Amino acid sequence: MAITSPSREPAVNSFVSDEWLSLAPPSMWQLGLRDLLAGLSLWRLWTRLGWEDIRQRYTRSVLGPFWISLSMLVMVFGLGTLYSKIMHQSLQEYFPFLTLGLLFWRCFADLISDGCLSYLQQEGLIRQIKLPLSTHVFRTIFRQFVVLGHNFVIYLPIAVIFALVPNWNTLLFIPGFLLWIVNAVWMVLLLGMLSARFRDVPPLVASVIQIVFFLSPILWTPATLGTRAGIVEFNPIYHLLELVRAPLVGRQPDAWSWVGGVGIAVIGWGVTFPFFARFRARIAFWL
Amino acid sequence: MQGSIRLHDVHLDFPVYNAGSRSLKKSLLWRGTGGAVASDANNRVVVHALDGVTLELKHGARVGLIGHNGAGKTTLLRVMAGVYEPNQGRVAIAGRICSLFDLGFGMNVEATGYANIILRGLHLGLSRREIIALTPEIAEYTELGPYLDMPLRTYSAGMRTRLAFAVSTSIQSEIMLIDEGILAGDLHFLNKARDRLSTVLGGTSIVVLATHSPDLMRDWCDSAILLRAGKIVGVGPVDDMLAAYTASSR
Repeated sequence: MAITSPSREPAVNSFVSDEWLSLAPPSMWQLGLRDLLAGLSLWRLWTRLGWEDIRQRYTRSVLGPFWISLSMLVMVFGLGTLYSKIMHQSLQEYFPFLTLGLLFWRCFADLISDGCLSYLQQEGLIRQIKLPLSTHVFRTIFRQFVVLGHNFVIYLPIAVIFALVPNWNTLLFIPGFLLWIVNAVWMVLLLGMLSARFRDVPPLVASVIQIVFFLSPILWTPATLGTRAGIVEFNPIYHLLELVRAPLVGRQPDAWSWVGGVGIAVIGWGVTFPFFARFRARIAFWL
Repeated sequence: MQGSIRLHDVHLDFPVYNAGSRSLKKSLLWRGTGGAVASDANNRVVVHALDGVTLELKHGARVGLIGHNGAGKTTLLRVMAGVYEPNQGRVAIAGRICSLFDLGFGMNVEATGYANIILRGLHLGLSRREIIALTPEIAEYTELGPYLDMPLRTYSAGMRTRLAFAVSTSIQSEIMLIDEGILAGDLHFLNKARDRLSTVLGGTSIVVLATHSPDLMRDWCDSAILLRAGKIVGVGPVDDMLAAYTASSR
């Protein structure tokens, strides 16, 4: 089969036009930003992929993802009755606190540990076709939020039993959760890159997360610290949890928690974006 | 639309990390000890895969890449596909790219053949509606029949390749990048694949093919680029370049 080139001038040259060379190439900042925006615009792809990930994990299982919800429900009832006694707390206060704390902690911990693998797991894809790298980050986050969504069913019986009636404060959950998403993106973006380059990061993160769980007010309430309750203000996790936990029990989050949540986002993005812009192109070589 | 590929003075180094330099501890220790142990803790080996490649491919280009193993053919294809960004130099690609290197990506072994057609199509940048419209044609070409309703894990390797190949080649693209490795398979499929590629290539603006087969290259390309150690050593008609290649390997 003979294919002739339709244009007269040669289609293959070992030089490029000066005209093109005189155009300024995009800066690394522009490329970084473009990657994030292009990744977002591919939402059809990453929502579908995130969904398939979950389906694949639980294929041929009867309860499927509800296994996690079920085990969490058992945990909440077990821990709730025991720890409310140990900490001299009323069931009415402790149960919703514990349930929401565990729900969001679980989501946070999974986001972090799964986030470490967001590039490592997609090695094949990253080296085969050009996709914005942030696509893989959004896929991980979407997947974890789907898990959070179905785990959330265990909050419903608790809300009914302890008569948690939604009020105006409940609406504050929306900005609180948006702040969560903003923070989740930089965390996964940063950890994914660090883990691709340094393979010690995923196990390191996994062990740190366990310690943070016990140091954060999830099983214990800040009030049990008595006069030292103020110390939780220094724990960023406390603020992140407070932003979503307080509205759902009908309270307003503390003003400092808003400051904390926004502060974490500003500092986190301030570190992550330059890092992403600088090393984005190297990720394919790290895998 | 007319595609174009422009590369200017492209250098690409592959860092080869050994287990040592990937560990955070060694990297930190190295920083802490002021480079004294740099040679053994951070012994990064760097492979210069592309070394100052300048190239312009315009509408109508039918190019074969010739060179020994490790001459940079695959790396060059991947730079053209946008998978690797060069350390130095500039790259500009216009047009939708169809890359046929390793066909394994973007498939889910638990999902059915039909679901995988959609999944792969999404990866390649189609909308769901576009893929659904293309599905009957893809299904017919694969000759997989009832298998398309079964999960991909029940497929043989050849059947998976066939499915992936069918989806990738059903999408209208301006630039076609082909690595010869994918043209392996059973004889019947191979002939079909070549037929299909010949048809698809006819409507493609730019074709780049890396192969060791002189016949395939003569069939599909009208010019060739000879690569040696990451450098372009010749650009010209296929037969001239093949002759130069044969001469150099003696």
